[in-house]
Amino acid sequence: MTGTSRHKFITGVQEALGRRGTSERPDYHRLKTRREIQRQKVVTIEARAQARRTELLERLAQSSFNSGWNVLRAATTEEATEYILSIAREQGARLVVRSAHEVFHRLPIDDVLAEHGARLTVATARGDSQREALRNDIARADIGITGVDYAIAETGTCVLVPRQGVSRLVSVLPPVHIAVIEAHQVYETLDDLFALRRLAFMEGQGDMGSYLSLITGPSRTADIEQTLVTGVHGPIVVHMVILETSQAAGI
Amino acid sequence: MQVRSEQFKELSLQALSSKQVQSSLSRVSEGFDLARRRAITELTPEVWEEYREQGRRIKEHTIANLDYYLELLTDRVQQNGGTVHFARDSKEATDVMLEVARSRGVKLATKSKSMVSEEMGLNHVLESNGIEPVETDLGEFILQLSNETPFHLIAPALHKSKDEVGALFNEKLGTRKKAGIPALTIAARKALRSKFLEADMGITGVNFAVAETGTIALFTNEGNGRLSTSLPRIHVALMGMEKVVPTLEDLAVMLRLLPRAATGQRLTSYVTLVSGPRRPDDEDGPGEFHLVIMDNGRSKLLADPELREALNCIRCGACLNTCPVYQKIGGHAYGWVYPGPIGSVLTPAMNGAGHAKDLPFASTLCGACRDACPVKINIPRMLLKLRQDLKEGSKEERKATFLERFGFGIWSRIVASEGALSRFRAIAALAQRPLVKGSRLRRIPLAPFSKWTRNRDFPRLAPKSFHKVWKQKLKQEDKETH
Repeated sequence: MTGTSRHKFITGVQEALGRRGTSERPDYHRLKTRREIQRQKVVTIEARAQARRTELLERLAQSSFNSGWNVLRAATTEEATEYILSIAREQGARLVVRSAHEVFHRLPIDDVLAEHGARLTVATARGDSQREALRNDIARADIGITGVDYAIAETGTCVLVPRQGVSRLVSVLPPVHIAVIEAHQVYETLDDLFALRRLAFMEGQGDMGSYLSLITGPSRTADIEQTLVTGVHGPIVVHMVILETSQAAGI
Repeated sequence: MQVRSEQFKELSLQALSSKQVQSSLSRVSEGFDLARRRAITELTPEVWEEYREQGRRIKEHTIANLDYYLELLTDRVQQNGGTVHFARDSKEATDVMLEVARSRGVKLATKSKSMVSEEMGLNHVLESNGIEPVETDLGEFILQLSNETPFHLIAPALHKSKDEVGALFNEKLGTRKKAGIPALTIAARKALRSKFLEADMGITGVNFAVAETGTIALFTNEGNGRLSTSLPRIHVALMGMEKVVPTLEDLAVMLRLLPRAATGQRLTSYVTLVSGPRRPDDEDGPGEFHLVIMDNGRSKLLADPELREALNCIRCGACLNTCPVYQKIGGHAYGWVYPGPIGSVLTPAMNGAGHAKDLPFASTLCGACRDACPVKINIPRMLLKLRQDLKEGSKEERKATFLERFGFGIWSRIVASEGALSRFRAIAALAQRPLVKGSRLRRIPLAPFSKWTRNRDFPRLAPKSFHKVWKQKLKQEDKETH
């Protein structure tokens, strides 16, 4: 094997630190957190988010707008569907891909988009043979639509946890991305998010999934003369649809 | 990358005499630095101070226990199904890259910005081994086409005008002449999209590595980090060994510091966390994940208690943007990968002081870099230490010259006595007369002052000394109160 062995490398670091032998676990407050403590912490976070729901939705809308999202606060699922359709019309969308997030069980966009005449692909491959085809569809799609797993009010951020039914690519390859957020997915701060993911790690036997995507506005660059341009590799335009009714209240 | 820091003086003069470079640099202060200051105002300076202090503590703690956290990181990346490689220097790191690429038949690799890969001179090595590396950060892509090196930590092509980029893209990509910045950006998007879809390997840097969960975090605004970590079948992440933080909750603190300090954003458009390769049920993502952890001179910093805090650096570029020297000479003058105040510490400390004798002196020690640093690195203190080492290091420079000893001997006598100082002042005030133009002395034809005034003006002595002004003011007040 090329490179240096782990043992040799770590020994070098220890020597530089003026230390010998095994690396001792340092006394660090965050390392000491046990799963039960972390769960307590998350319970508090959930309660706080619930108590401040109205305020958080307001903050999310504001900071998302500031980060470059086009924001729709939808009181009903009909309003949300209508908005998504209007974007598809405006784009003249022929091919739309969406993730298999739960929210689409109550948002009938598939039928509406089909009526509009767009082909819709749900981004779930069943097995390797379909992966290539799915990837080609996503790469050619005019619009990518996803749900989210969390939204962060502080920064106007959508957070996706890629897994079965949630491709990494739907939110990044098409020129337009629409993210649909449910009210109960909104949290206050980035600290809350990472506390939640840390619990997911602890409860998932040391696995919190392979990937985490934080999306805060459109793809952008200022690499030429510090002039801001959107859409360098990812979407040029991003829309955030906030469903203000929770699922329970919506029924 | 070869160290060219010995040529600091020539390279600085080149930058100073280039109109294009000066015009690009004039945007740094009004662009990035202003954005950073605005972001701090928005957050409130008190809250910013609190985050800075937290960030500093996290980095200090991790660096002081680096052996433990690197072991933990390695274990957890392996648990996630990834492979960890260790490289003591850039040669070993490029060997690792070549082996991984060759054994898996890699022909095309897309790269997201990585300063460690610049240390390695990776592109050159890949190319000469028949592997095509494609830089995908727009700035880096421009530099790859024009065969140049980064000018700035986060805006690598800062020194190029849109006309220069236009001419370059016209030649290499066939865009029309006089294309505007949006059209140039779209041209790059198209050219790079097909590369992303074809690439066998995605190469990225690492902004932070989370030990507990075996995760690497990437910050980008363009989305090239996400594409490089999603489309190719192999992902290789390159990190300097100091990039580790203990837990996800520590990362949350860094997440607040880095974008604000770098571009004044609350958060970059994309933050991507990668914990190993694709899981079996995932829809997409690379089947292989490799992490290369590189030392390349960092253990020298670690071993030196006075320079260790340079390892706290999170590469935000705030110290460049605020530095009066960087704002005049730009990034290429520093002669290696890391420019600006932090580069003046890292380059000599990582490569040996002999390679970069001028860099520690390329600072006014004004402290702006220290105040701007999101993790409170005391750069001026380290520059002084490096200066001291350099002076004490070489025999011929260790002793002050006769003129210095003589001059400072007299000077110390003058300033020790009030009478002598005031007499000296009176003589100097007379002597300066023929040289004063306006409020300044443009030239003093007497060594060693003649050297000083070759490139600078010297302020004239005020008509009255402060001492006198103060006395008169006191007298005046005395009169008024009685």
